[in-house]
Parts: sequence; structure tokens; C-alpha cells
Amino acid sequence: MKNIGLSIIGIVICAFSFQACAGDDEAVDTEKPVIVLDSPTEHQAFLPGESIGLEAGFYDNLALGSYKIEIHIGEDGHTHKGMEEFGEWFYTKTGAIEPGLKSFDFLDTIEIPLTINGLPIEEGHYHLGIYLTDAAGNERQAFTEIVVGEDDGH
Amino acid sequence: MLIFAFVPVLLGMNAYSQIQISGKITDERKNPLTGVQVKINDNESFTDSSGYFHFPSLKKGTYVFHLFLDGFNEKVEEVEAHQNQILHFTLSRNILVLEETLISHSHKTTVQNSETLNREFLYSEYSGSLAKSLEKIPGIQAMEIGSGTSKPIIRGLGFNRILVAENGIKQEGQQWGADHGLEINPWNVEEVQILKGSGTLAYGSDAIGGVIALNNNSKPLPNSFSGDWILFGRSMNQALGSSINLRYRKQDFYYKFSAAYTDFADYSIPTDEIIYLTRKIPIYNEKLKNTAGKEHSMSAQLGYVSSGFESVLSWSNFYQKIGFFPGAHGIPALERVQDDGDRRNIGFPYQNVNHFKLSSENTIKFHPNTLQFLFGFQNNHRQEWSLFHTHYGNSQPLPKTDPNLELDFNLHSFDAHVKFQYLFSRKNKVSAGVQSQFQKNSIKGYNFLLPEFNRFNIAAYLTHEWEIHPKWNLDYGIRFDYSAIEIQDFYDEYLYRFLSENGHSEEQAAEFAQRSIELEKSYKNFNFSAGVLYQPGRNLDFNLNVGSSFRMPSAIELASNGIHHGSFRHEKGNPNLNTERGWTADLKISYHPQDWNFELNPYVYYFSNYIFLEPSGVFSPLPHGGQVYGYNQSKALLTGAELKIEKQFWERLDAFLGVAYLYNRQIQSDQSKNYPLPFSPPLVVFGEWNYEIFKQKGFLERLAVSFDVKAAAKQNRIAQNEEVTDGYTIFGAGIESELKWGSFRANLLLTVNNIADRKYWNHISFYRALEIPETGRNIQLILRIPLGNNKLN
Repeated sequence: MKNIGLSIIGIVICAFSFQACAGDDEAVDTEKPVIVLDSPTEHQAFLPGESIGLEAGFYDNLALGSYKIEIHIGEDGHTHKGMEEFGEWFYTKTGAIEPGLKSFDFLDTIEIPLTINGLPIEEGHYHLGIYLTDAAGNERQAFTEIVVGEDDGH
Repeated sequence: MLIFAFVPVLLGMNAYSQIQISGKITDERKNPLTGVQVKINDNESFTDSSGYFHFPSLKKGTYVFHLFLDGFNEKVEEVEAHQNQILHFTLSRNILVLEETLISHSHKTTVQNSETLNREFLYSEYSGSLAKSLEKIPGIQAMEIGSGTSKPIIRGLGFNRILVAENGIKQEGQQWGADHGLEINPWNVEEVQILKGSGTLAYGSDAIGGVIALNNNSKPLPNSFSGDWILFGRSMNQALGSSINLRYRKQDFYYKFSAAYTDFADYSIPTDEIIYLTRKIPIYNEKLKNTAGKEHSMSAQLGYVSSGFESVLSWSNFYQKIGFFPGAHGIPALERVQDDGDRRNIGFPYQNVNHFKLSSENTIKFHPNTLQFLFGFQNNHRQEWSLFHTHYGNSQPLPKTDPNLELDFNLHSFDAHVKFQYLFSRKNKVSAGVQSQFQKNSIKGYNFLLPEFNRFNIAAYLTHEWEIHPKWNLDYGIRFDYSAIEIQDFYDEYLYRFLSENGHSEEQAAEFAQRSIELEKSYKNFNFSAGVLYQPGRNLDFNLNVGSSFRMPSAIELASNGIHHGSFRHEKGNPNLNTERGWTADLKISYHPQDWNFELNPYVYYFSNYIFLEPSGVFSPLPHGGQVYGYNQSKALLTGAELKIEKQFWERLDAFLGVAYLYNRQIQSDQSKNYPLPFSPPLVVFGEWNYEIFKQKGFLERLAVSFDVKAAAKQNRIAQNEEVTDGYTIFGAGIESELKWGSFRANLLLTVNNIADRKYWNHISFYRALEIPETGRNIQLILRIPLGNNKLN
């Protein structure tokens, strides 16, 4: 009885380990692309009307895909509601990287507007985000905080 | 005269030859069993609500008693009856109940791969939340949302792919979401039945990975009052809690009451900094800001027992409020993670949930057959509060009422279930039933995630349990489900305005502003399952179960479109989704000579259309949005095995080893898309040694120590856009004592987890995505004082 039991256990283990080994993960790319942000630096301050020089290196193990640059307000929703004295700045730009590239130097100049829909730009902390995908759809995000206006120190 | 002289003799003779036999039948814990069929020759009797049976006039002689009750091992016993007698029989349950330190074996009749845990187990494994307390069972894991709440995962399947039921009624919360847990008071659970593999036949949609069936409808003993009072504390989140459970029964009526309260502070993690999206976020004083919470619950039960009818009416209410780490809903401004000097306050953002439940279970007994009616009403009301913020610049104004109410889901569920159980013979049981559910979800809040919907489901099933031979049991059945869902549309005019102002065309703005579409869908599903239990010898048994399972696509998967604020992803619903269908094969081999117990449990799940989020490679125009992820379906495979070894040495040392391994992936025509499925636990090995130092020494009834080790392998088989998680090894220890001074009794349990204060990450934790490590060293103390006139079970 013992032997029958053990041999059944053995057969089952073999069957299942075959199942497990039959899978082929080698073809799958889960490695995310890499973003190295050189400029702007964390908490760098800019005055309205100035330009942000954006410099970043994009890297991937196989092939880069596309990118999105986004700047949005970083204040968590306090202040100003109902006042409508200032306009929040929102900037977005997307682009595709030439197919097959494993590394790409991204350079861009973003001008900070003085007014948003006729209102003076809301000063304060903004998040500058870079979203980068590779050809397989793996995605990396990198964020830095910039200050529009005078740096208030935190 | 002569006649007069004879009469008393005759009467006496008559009284002498006709005897009365009565008796009581209980289970192993002395609980009286109602409705036991007692058969001797052609006479038949059934036990009453106190477990008594009575045969008023029998002839002297030898009788063979056949005792039979569904769910218990049948008993045949010979009794010599020469005079009036009161007998006592004990029936043993035919399921294997996993107690804390006991290996017991009996002849099984349960064909499904299920395991039953009692309250003793839950008490000694308590780890802050119910799902977390079940993690010792190989294959079960908890997805934790901070320190006070978690949701269960079976074999890497969670959310809507497993099912939790309480007293037979499916728990309906917001199972689809990753940032909220199970709304159940862990101290009010008397028994947990864990079913691995498909539970579709009994429960319908969602029971793909398995079922966690919680029961608290056991009957107290007649003329008894019992209960317990529990006090506990945990160091890592300074949790303090108390629970009281009371049970009272006179005769036919019984009453139960329970209440629990827990309050916990921000929990500690062994790090002073996390790196999230390449930004360093400081963790002040190694406390994760705003993860404090509180929980209170209350429940009451009224029951009636008689030999022909049983009824239980249960009411419960559960409330929980838990803070979110500010980074959980976006990149936090650094001042928001600063220490505010109060570890117990709950600031924005936080969630609160209230779960109300009323259920009624009624059983009419036509011995040995039963007709059962179950009704349930549940209201799960969940809210997320976050200081009003908008990602749409100036276009969204401050709401007039509840300005900080971000999300509000109010789900009402009505359940009705009629079940008829018919025993053709003791070896053939047929069950047939009709099960129906209606759900209504309504929403509020300044953000949008889940649309309003109505859902209806009706199902009919038929199962047959058949003991072909003492060595062979067979179960099989079929089930048909009809489901319909009606989803409301939601148009976000603020988003429309924002997109228009930022240079998007009218059509494009309108397309993205349509956060959910109006949609009506209906699905028909036919499922089957079959299982066999083979017990070739006393020490060896095999359970093989195969079956199909299904899951209705959720409202989000079908109709939503937009940024999911918890996962920071732009997710797009797909109205063309079909029901997710799975096929399961599960083999459990148990070998248990003497004080050993080996269980090996390999399994395979195959999905013909597993629903998953597929990255589109196209960026979302919405603020904070990366690429758009669309819901799609593909074939998928999930396979693995669990191993459990238990051994008792010298009746004092219990050793436990549990191993769980799983492998899964999609099966697509393009090989390069065969990604593993998300939230897959790595290989886990858990070992525990429990040593009883002594018994009955002074006021110490029992003193035991335990030591455990948990090791998890590195998880590098990740779904797309998950992070690789390193392996870890953590150690734990505990002391358990039972104290007794006269009639006063108490249990004291002291445990330490992660003794070495190791910094590690759990691949399936909600906060894993934020790179937040698991909690450090935790010391936990539980004091339990039994109340009343009989020992608790």
C-alpha cells in the first residue's frame, strides 16, 4: 500500500514539475526602462517666464518606446479654491523614440507661462514627471519637484 | 381471589419484560446533537433539541443501535438491554478539524479539498486581521493594507477570484479593490472552512481560487451560559483591543452576543526613508505616517432548535476607519509625511467602511431530509476622504456638501437561497437548490472610480454525494447561472473642460470625459464539478477534484475609463468582456501513519479567458496618467503545489512544516506576451515547533513555547510593471500558558514576530508598490478569560 501511495506521489510530482518547467519565461521582458534626470534638479526654482532646461538619459535593455513629460501643481489641494485669482499651470508633451534604440538623450526646453487662461500663474511647488515606456510596454516614472516663483524653503 | 393474586404478578411480569431505553447523543465536545436518527430493528427515534432520544417499550434483549446524522460518522453499537437504561453515545464529526496542537485522523467523507479551523486556531494565530491569521495554511496569503486590515489570497488568486462567506452567505464588500480588507470581526468567528479549488457549485461566481467559509452559527449547550473576554495589544502599531463573546441557552432558544473594539496607531517599519518614483521620502521615527485606525463591531444572534425545525437570526455591524499613508494616493508633499507628534490621529486621506448584515437561516427537517431557507441583507458603505484636490486645474470647483469626500460606494446586496437535501440512503445524498442575489451600488464623491450599477443573479444546482464503497466516495454536480448587470454612465464635465482648455479636440475631450458608459450585459454560465475520495488504507487517502468555475466581469472591468487613484494607472474598461472561465484539477494526497501527517497538494488552473490589464503603449492625456491600460482577456495557466508535514514527538513537541509554490502565466499566441499574473506570491516555507513544557503545576494548567521561521524566495516572475521583490527569512517565537486559580481560568499568549527586526518587502502587500517595507519586530499579548459555567470551545 505504501509503495502504491509513494509511486502515485512520485508520478504526480513529475507531472506537475513538467508543467512548471514547460513554461518559457525567457521570452518575456519585464525589465523597465531607466530614466536618469540631470536637469532640473530637485527643488530648483524658476520665475514665471523663465525656461526649464530638461536633460535626461533614457535607457532600456531591449528597445525604448515612448515618453510623456508632465508638469502639474504639487500642492495637495489646499489654498485658493473658490478664489480663482491664479491659474494652475499644466504642461504635457508626448513623443515616440526612434524604434530599436537602447539609449536616448532627451533634451527639451519648457517655457513657464506668465498667465494661464488670463490669470497670473499660480506660484508654488510643481511636480515634473517623466513617463517612459519600452517597446514591450514596461513603464518607468520619475518625478522631481520644482518651484515656480520664489523658493519658500521646503 | 386467585385472580387478584395473579394480576400484580402479570403486571409485574409485563413491567419486567418491557423496558425503556433512553439516551443522550453528543459530539466529542459534549454538545448535544439534534435530529440524530436512532434505529434499532424497525424502531426509529430522533433526538430532540437537548440531544435526547427515547424508546418507551422494548423487549429485553440485545440491540444493535444505528446512529446517523449528516456530517458525522455513522455509529453502530451493540447494547445488551435487560433493564431500563440511559445510554450515552458520542458521534465524531466526519471533517478533519485542525486544532492548534493535535494531529487527529478519522475516516473521511469530505471529497472536496477543504480544511476546517476552529476558534482555538484563530485565537492562537491571531495577527491583527482575519486573513493574516490564516497564513499558516500553505497556499493562503494575506494582502495587507497597512497593519489593521487585509484580504485573503488563495494560490495567488484574490479579489473577485476567491469568495468569502459567512454562515453560507457570500460576503459582499468591494472585493475588486486592493486598498481595503475584509469587513469581519475576527473574534466572532467560531469556525473557518477553507476550500481550495473551485467552489462554484455551492457559491457561483468568483469562487475560482477557493472559498473561505466563516461560521458562527454553532449552538450553545442547553442550560448553559458561556463566553469569553479577550484583551490584546500589539507593539508595532500600539494596537489595543478587547472583545467579548457571550452565549446563552435555556432549552430550545439560544442567544449570542459579541462586541469588539480595536484602536491602533501608525505602524512602525524598520527604515527611515523610502524611495518612491525616484524620490526620497523620509519616514520620521520609523513610523509610517497616517496609518492609524480603529475598528468596532457588534453582533447578536437568536436561535431556535427543535427536532423538526431550526432557525437562526443573525445581525452584525462592523465599522472601520483607517488612514492612508499620504503617498498611497499620489506623490506626497514632503510636509505631509512629517511627524505631527500624534501617532494615533487619523488625518486625510483615510477610508472608513461600515458593513451591516442581517441574515436568517431556517431548516425544516423531514428526518433525515432537510429543507433550508437562507436570506441575507448586507449593506457595505465605504468612503474615502481626502482633502479636496483636483487634477483639472481651475475647472473643478469645491463641492458644496462634504467637500473632502473623494469616493463613496454604497452597495446593497440581497441574497435568497433555498436548498433541499434528500438522502436516498445513508450512502446517497442529493442536494438541489436555487440561489439568487440582487445588488445595487450607488456612488458619491468628487472623484470617480466605480460606476453605479444593479446586478442580478439566479442559479440552480444539483449535487450528488455518493459513498460507493467505504473506500470510495464520489461527489459531482452541475450548476446553471444567469446573471445580468446594468451599469450607469458617468460624464465628467470638469475633465471635459480641462482637456478642452489644454488643447484637446472636442471629440477627444468628450471621449475621456465619459468616465463610464451605460451598459447592459447578461451572461449565462454552465458549470460542473466532480470529485473522488479514495481511502485505500487507514493511513492514506486521496482527494481528486476537477471542475469548472467562472467569474462575472465587474462594473469597473466592463465600463470604467480613467485614472485609478489607488494604482495611479489609467485603466480602460472593455464592454466586450466575456465571463472569465476556469478549469481546475486539484489532487490532495494525505499520508498519516500514527503521529505523522503528510499532505501533498498539487493543482492546475487553466483559464480560457483570464481578465487582465494590458499596457497599450499609448499615453493618457489625463494629468498624472502614464500609459493607458486596457482590460483584455487571454488564456492563462496557474499551477503549483502545497506540502504540509506535521509530526508529534513524545506527545510534547509538535513540528509543522508548510511549503507553497506556484507558477502562473498568460498563454498568448505571441510568446513574448506570456507574462506572469499579478500579485503572485513567491515560494514560501513555514516551519513551527511547539513544545509543551509541563501540565498542571501549581496555578499553571499548561505552559508551552513555540518557535517559527518563515522564508520566502525572491519573486522575479512578475507581471508587467510590477517590481521584483527580494526573498526574506523572518523568525518568531511565543509562550502560551493556561492559568487556573480555583474556578478562575485565563489563557495568556505572548508572541514575537520578526524577532530580528528585519527589513523586507512582501510582494503582495498593498504598500509594496510604494516601496514600503513590512513591519519590524512586533510583540503581541493576548489575554483570554473564559466566562460562564462551561469551558469554551
